[in-house]
Amino acid sequence: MDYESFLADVQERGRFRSRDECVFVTATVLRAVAEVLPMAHVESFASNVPQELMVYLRGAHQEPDPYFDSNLFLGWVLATVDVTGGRDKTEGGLDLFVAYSTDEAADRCRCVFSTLKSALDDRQSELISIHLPDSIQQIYADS
Amino acid sequence: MVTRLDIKAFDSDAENTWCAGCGDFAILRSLKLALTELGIASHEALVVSGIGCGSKLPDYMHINGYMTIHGRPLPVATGAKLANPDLHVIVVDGDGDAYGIGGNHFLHSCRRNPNITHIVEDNQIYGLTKGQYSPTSDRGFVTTTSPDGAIEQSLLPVAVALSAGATFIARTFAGDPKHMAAVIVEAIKHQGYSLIDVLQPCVTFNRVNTYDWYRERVYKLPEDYDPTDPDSARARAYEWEDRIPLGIIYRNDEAQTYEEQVAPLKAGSPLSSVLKLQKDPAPGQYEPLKEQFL
Repeated sequence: MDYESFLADVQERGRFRSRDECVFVTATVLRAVAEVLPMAHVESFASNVPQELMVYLRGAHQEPDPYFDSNLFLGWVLATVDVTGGRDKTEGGLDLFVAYSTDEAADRCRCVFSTLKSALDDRQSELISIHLPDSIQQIYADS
Repeated sequence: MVTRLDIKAFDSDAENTWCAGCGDFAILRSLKLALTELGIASHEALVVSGIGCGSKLPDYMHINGYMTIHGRPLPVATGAKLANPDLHVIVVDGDGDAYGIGGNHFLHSCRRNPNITHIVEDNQIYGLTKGQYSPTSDRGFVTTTSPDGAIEQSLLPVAVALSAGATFIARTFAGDPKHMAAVIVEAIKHQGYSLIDVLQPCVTFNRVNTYDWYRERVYKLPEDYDPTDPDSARARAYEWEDRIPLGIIYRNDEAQTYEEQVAPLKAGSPLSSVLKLQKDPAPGQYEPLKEQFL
């Protein structure tokens, strides 16, 4: 799968408004993956992941932080949800963005994971899965 | 029988209301890891906080906790430490609470050197009040209260602490919880005021200083870096924007703590003498104390 096909697939799954937004989501999810994927495994994906996206995976660490958990992972992805200047319009401090942000971040992960899984072979897919934090692993499995 | 402390001993039943992905989760976990590593049990430590998202932290730990008013956790923590120097006193608050509303207390704690650990959850924004620029927001940062961009120069907490005389100054990143836990361990072991400025994204209201924004800029201090050298520390303290150093930037383990210099404490801590009562429980022994303090 080439870069443009990858992005088009993610955009279709996530119904993202623009290609730029899709690029941002894809990059952020893959950079989060790079946080948990040991550097030693990264090049094994080069055969099936477009070179433009391998750049993000190559940001991996020699030894990933063992305490990098699901919350940190979602924290990376949440940066793609645009609420700059957003205001809480609800009474009593009930912020609906906060209430739904976990679901939104999980959905965005799911879109990128689905496309990624379709590009990878089973061995590569398993290698990604085993390094993901627990609840992200579940999202990956459901994608 | 001696048993190893389990990190789960610090878990609380309180419902967590932080946004998913908030850096506060990593700080909470790292603090628990550090206390576990040091074998400090819940009853041996006190966590004092102010007001803000991160200041909810004591509620999310099974530990002695005290949420104070905005900006005041440092004086309250100093008081607690003076009353009971045997207690490990840890302050956790945000950049607004520590450097803005509590800026005065921050300065004087640096020069006073009480033996307390100060963890600042620095997300460069006021999150609980839904996104106003804070003392550490970078110049030009657009928020609801700075629609044309923040006018003021941002505060460099590490540089301020260094010039104010702090004896332990460190910076870490919420995206590296293992590193953070190791820094917290060293800070708690340090005898004196220790500042840990934790770079921490606010995933909801700060869309500039994200995890990847920090990841592109942070670097760990090299192994041959000497944190006891004030000149080296000064150079690192002013590094910001393109390259941001993480680790123990400065430490002076020779300085006396504030408590060590308070004459009445040389005879023992006030609370220790009170606690001796517990060794010989007797009905009614606490009644005079209640009358004295309540």
